[in-house]
Amino acid sequence: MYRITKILTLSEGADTAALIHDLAATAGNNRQVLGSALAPTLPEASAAGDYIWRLHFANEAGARGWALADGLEANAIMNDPARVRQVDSVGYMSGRTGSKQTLSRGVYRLLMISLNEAANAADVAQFEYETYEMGLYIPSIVQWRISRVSDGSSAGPWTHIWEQEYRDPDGLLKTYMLHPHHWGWINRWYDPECAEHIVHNVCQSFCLFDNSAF
Amino acid sequence: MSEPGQENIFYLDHLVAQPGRAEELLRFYMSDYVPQAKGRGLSLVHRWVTPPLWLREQSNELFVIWSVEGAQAWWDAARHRRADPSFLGFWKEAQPMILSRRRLFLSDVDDVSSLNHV
Repeated sequence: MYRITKILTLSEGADTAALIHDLAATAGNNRQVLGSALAPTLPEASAAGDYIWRLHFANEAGARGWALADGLEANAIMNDPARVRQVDSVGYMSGRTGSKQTLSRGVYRLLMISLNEAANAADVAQFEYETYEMGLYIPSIVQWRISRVSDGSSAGPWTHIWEQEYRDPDGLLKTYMLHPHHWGWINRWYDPECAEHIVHNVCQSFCLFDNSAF
Repeated sequence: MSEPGQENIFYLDHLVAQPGRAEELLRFYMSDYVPQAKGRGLSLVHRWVTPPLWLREQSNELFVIWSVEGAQAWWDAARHRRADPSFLGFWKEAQPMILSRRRLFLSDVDDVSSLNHV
């Protein structure tokens, strides 16, 4: 499965309803798009952007097919400064995925990650493994996936996307944040005071969902 | 065993000094880094050195231990640090005195269950 995930920051005064309608139409009109979900970000904490747009395709060729057809219209909309101020976008094959059960609704959270170019392959592999491992240890993470980005844009350059689903916002804002796997273990890759530090930049956002991204 | 949210979380800075420079490194750590870290809510708990003499031609290892009370305080300290990244200047200036370093986060083993029950 190939996925494109975008965080959209709208321009002040943009007609939100029309924008969402127009973007959704570029996905709904194209048979290469197997799924599309556009949802407003939650106001809690430090969620980036105003909307998260998730698209998925059978493979990368399908994504290219959309990009060369209805995706051109989507890009024209997103490149209109009167409507959209910023887009962070990643394209990727689904990476290592874990699941405790399937949720029909809940909170979807993504973290776009940019690793230092100097990070060695062994460190990157360990980072990816430990990120996956968070889902095994942290009870509130119900479904999760760490993927390598093949096509990124904006502030990155994004190298990875870390996606999770939770039953409710507390699962993310309390359990995930306060669990020792987070602050006492995996944090060292993100912490410039730790020798293992390899994360250059991150961008996180989250929204409610009623169709699972997994 | 501590009450949930009140567990001591320890930061261990394990610094292997360049040969003959451990005392100088510790002085610089105390004068430059410690005030910044205390300002972020960290309490200095221990400053240990091995071996317990200042080596002239080999490396001493320093173990500096800090603590905060509870995971929320850990995040509060991290947020303070994000707002003022001046600590990076310390590590850059100290680098010529350091052979290697590692930072670890620890707890009392009796607090593991409570810390994981979130």
